[in-house]
Amino acid sequence: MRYVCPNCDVRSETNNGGTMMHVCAGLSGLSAPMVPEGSDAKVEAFRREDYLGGDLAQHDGDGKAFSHLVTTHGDGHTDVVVLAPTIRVQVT
Amino acid sequence: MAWSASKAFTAFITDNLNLTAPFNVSADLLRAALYNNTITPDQTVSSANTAYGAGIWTGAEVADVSGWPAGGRQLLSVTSTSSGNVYTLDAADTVSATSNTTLANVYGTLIYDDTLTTPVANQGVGFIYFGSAANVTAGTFTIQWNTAGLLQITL
Repeated sequence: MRYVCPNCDVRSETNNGGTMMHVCAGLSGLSAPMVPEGSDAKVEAFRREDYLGGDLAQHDGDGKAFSHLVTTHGDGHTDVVVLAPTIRVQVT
Repeated sequence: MAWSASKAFTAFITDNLNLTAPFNVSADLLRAALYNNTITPDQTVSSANTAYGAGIWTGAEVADVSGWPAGGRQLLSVTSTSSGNVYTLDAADTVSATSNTTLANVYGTLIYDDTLTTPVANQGVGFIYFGSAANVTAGTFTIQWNTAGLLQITL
């Protein structure tokens, strides 16, 4: 199956199931899902709404913290990729 | 109050150092259970209250019976390693069991040890706040763990 990214020019092909990810130039370097070629799906990145505190969040190439990505398909169903922060314990 | 940060439970550290809980995170079955924003996680609760199904973790769970059932999804390819002065607990991204999963208002996850049965069954390792609400409708829900891991301890 061929996959494309609606936010950049990356195309790829795989026989594996699951979500095809790539580093997306259109989303400033976030690791983002691709969608089947020919589909009318869109992929949107959502900023972290809360302050970071001590969390080690996932950032794009511009240093902005993001919480999740949503793929919205033409039939209305959605896929979500949560960009989980790291629990950070610092003894030093 | 509500979710505000990602934390390791102090009981997880204390019980490891005191050998009062037989954690073996590199071999045990770890799970990620999902929760809404009606709870306020606290890293300083007792060992018993860190456990899945105890304390605040008795309610507010978000589940999909087939895709992300109550009790959570298993963490796969778990690694527990040190490099230099940094310890890292990591795993492969955790994905719903079906591509027809519906979950609403997911704000965070409890990471717990499903292998432990005594002195506290299902004792918690820590909790991770996603930073905002995540919703999936009849699709796939994936937790992409940070490249820095689920848990990082800098000594």
